[in-house]
Amino acid sequence: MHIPDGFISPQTYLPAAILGAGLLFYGYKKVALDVEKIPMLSGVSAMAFVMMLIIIPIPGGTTVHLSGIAILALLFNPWVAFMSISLVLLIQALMFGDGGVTSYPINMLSLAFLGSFSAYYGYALVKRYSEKYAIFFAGWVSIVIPSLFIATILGLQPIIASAEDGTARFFPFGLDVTLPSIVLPHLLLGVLEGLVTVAVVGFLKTKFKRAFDA
Amino acid sequence: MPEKYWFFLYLFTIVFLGVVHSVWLMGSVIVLTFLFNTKVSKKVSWRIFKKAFLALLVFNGTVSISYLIYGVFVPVSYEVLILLNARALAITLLTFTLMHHINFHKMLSSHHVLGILYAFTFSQMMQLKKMLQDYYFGLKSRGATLKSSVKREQLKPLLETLFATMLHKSNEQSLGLRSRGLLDD
Repeated sequence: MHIPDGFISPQTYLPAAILGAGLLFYGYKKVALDVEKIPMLSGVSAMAFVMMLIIIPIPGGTTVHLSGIAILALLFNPWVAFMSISLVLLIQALMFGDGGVTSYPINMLSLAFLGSFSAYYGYALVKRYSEKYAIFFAGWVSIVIPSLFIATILGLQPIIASAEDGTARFFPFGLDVTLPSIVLPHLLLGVLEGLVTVAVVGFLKTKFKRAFDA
Repeated sequence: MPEKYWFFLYLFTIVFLGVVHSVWLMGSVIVLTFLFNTKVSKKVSWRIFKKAFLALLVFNGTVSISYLIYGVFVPVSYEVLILLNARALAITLLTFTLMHHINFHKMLSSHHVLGILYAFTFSQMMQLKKMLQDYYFGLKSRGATLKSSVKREQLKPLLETLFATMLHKSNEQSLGLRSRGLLDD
């Protein structure tokens, strides 16, 4: 779901970069990094990175990979998850070309910010009914909300940055194409992410109880 | 020129490439960047170009093919498609060229916490990635394919190992920071 370079107009990514920088600065203050938290944050970021590399086979001969956003948001807190995923996305964009530098602010706002906070608050909303369903919902919503945001941003590009004759200069398809083609597959992918989140969060919370209690 | 200034020049250039909508400009940037890298090393130049091309292949390929199919039914401008792909390749090529020629860690050195955070994250990422790769190689040597690799029953022990390594490494780094007095408590 990482958007590469060239698809997002400066009219979109420059304001998003200012907003993203503000959120990162606020998160930096909120997390209050010290000698304990810096290594932990870097470790969590590395975990997020490596979770995205784990390939899980699904019926039908295809594979999916984890996003791990909900897992981090639930195991730590949404600000730590936001900072970690932002760091991972930056390193991925600069070193591996996975997602672009100009689209980094949009990727950061969608995956890192909306993904982490939708997972955290989605969990809080459903928790009163069932803990298990709440974790599942957190995983599902952490995929669906970012996909909705990305589809909207991409679909708005022909409106935001077209030539006078209406020719697109960046992403060429409108909302009528992006919303169904991006959001619908993610509604299903979200189910898988939800199931994996239930399995992993419960397991890690039990196995590493001391680390999370500290 | 210090790393920091190269980075700002790079940022300025990629924004500039976003406001100028000329295929010729994008083409010139691609050629010039390629020639610049060739001057340093022919092998490196091809490696960077291949890396940039592969990084864009899936997303740009999907969008381009969809656009071409769309063009069968509705009149479209093919220049848009060329501009879109050329701009993406120019920016990605510039990014990889910059990261090859500058020391990103040195660039962040003026900000103590950011420098440490980046160094720790990158080293842990590489370490965990290596562990995962070794795990995949281990499975492969036993006849498993990538598609049958991490089954549900294997996911938990794998994540447990990765998580335990991450916690251990974080704890070690924390002790290292404290013992060297790199950050005030």
